[in-house]
Amino acid sequence: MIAMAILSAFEEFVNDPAGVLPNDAINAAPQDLDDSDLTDPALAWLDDAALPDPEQGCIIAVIDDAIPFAHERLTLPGGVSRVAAFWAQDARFVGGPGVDLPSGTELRGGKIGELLQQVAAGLLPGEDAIYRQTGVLDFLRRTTPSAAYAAPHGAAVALLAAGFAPDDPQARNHPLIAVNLPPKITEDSMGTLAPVSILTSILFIITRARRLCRFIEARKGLPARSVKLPVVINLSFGLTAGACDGSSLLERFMDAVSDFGAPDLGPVHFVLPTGNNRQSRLFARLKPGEDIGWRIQPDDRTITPVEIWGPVHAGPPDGGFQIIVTPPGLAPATTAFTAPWQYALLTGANGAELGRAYYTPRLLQDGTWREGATVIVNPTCPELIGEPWAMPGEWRIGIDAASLEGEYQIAVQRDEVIRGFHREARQSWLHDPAYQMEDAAGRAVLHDPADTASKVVRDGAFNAYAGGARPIRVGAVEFAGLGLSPYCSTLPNGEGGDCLMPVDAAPGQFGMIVRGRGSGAFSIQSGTSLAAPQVAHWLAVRLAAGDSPNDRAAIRDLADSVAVENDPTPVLEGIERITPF
Amino acid sequence: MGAAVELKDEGKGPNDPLPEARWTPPVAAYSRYRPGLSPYMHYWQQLRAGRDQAPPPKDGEAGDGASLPRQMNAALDALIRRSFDE
Repeated sequence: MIAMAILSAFEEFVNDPAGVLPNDAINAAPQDLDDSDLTDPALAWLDDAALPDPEQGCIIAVIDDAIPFAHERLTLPGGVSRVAAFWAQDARFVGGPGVDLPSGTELRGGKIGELLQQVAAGLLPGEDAIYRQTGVLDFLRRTTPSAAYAAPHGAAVALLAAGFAPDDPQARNHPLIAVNLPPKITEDSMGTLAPVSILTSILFIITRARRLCRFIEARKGLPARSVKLPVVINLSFGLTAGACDGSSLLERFMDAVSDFGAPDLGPVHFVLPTGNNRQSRLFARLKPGEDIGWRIQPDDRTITPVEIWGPVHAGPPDGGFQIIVTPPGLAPATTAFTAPWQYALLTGANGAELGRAYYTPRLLQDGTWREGATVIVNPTCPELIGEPWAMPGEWRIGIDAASLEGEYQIAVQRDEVIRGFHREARQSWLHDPAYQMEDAAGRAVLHDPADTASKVVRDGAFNAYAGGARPIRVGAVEFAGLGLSPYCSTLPNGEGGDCLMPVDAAPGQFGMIVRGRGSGAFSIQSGTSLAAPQVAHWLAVRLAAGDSPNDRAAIRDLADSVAVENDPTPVLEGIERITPF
Repeated sequence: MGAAVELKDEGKGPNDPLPEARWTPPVAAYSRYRPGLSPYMHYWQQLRAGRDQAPPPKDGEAGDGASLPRQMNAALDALIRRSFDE
């Protein structure tokens, strides 16, 4: 059963070597789900008034931070919730319906509806009280209270993906399943702690979507396994460093979910942002014997990683790939890896630890191997006195001349400060004097010139979660001229995604008005994180209307058929936006 | 008035050899598959162990991680199979 799959996938998460979960969030004795959710009102997925039409429904799922599950745009008239299931992964575990989950709190639509009714009756003082009463927001705990923020990322994303006016006739056919990732995941400026949490979020969404279908059958008196709603999952998260070839565990799992599906559920589609780092100088391509400058800033309290992904070969890996790291002011040092998953510490002149490297070749599905390594430089300003640190300045990273022939992709991990979280992260970048940021007239160079000699590249470096064969990658354009937003990453074919959505007002005027946590709140935000949920919303509406594109190409064709601009990438009309104030 | 600081020439010329950086002999970060294993997770666990917040990860012999890529593939296949079983 998939419930057991959740447990096994979470085994290490519960052990939690990185300290993502507070101790009081752990469910010490998870149990399998049974069928009581079909009859017990306390476990009801939705109020009868919110049950979607079995023939015209499409579940929207969102994995993010601080999702405002009590927001008016996720309700139907009368305060009936459209949120079938909500999982706060790091909330205090207090039992409840999510007995199969390894941590946190699960809320279901019936319970959320009750709380909304209490607000409507004046028994609870507003939406905020719902977040506090359910434990999703608890200021007594030592976690970042992002669920209290006025304009969190998850509010903008979830309400773009799944928000409808309560009286919109389409609303009822789009129940939401949502997962709040722990604030520690968002706080990690590099996003490197996220994969296991995201994987288990996907498992949660699939189990709950299947149970919701069974629940609809039970409530409507339909034959068992006759309701198979499709699911669109929006994941507005990403990494900049990765193989970008679909070979990571998360990418392969997303592909498998979309390929195989479940026999008692409709098709599952993933929508991800293309990324925001085209101009960030985080990517380079090297050959054996070449190196590149890597500028690491002072006062960085976080580590600075770079991943190197090399050529594919028959394998097995035997040390035919070594990297050379040159710290500022020190001589180059070459690794001596001989077997997968080795690591070595880099030490300076006085023997002090400066960083480390891991050898991570990957076995691909066709039996070939791809060379890989990760270099992690210590913080330039350690968080605690006495912890290892490294000097800022120009480091260099290169490929040993004796390594396998072929192209090696160098990708710096993002080190981005998310608003409201720790501010100690500082982004490193790659430096090549041949890289042109501006042309002779002072205009920004937006794509790699055909004749560039620079090893640092803009094009073809995109969200490292989005390299699989199935997910829809969505880029951002400007409302004014539908031009690709300057920051929008590009796929290997040079396009800004499989589909594009308006996000920014005009060249140089970034951002769109998005909804905040409280009903009626708003903010201005930017990025492909906001383009993806608009496509998720569009796709869910099309699936509910009977369209059945079965893969990425078919979805792109569908987008092409309604696009406001088609050359080279379909640009969809942005979904309903708040009228500017 | 603050004390004057004298800038001294350390006596190193542009042609003098740079101090060396060195790699320690490689050891296995992991000896068996576990969900979510990654260089980053290994780093975090070592950092937290240094702060007495987590048990330290145990280094393996140099070749102990050789079968990890195959173990990772097998674990993923098993997870997919279990996820979609009836």
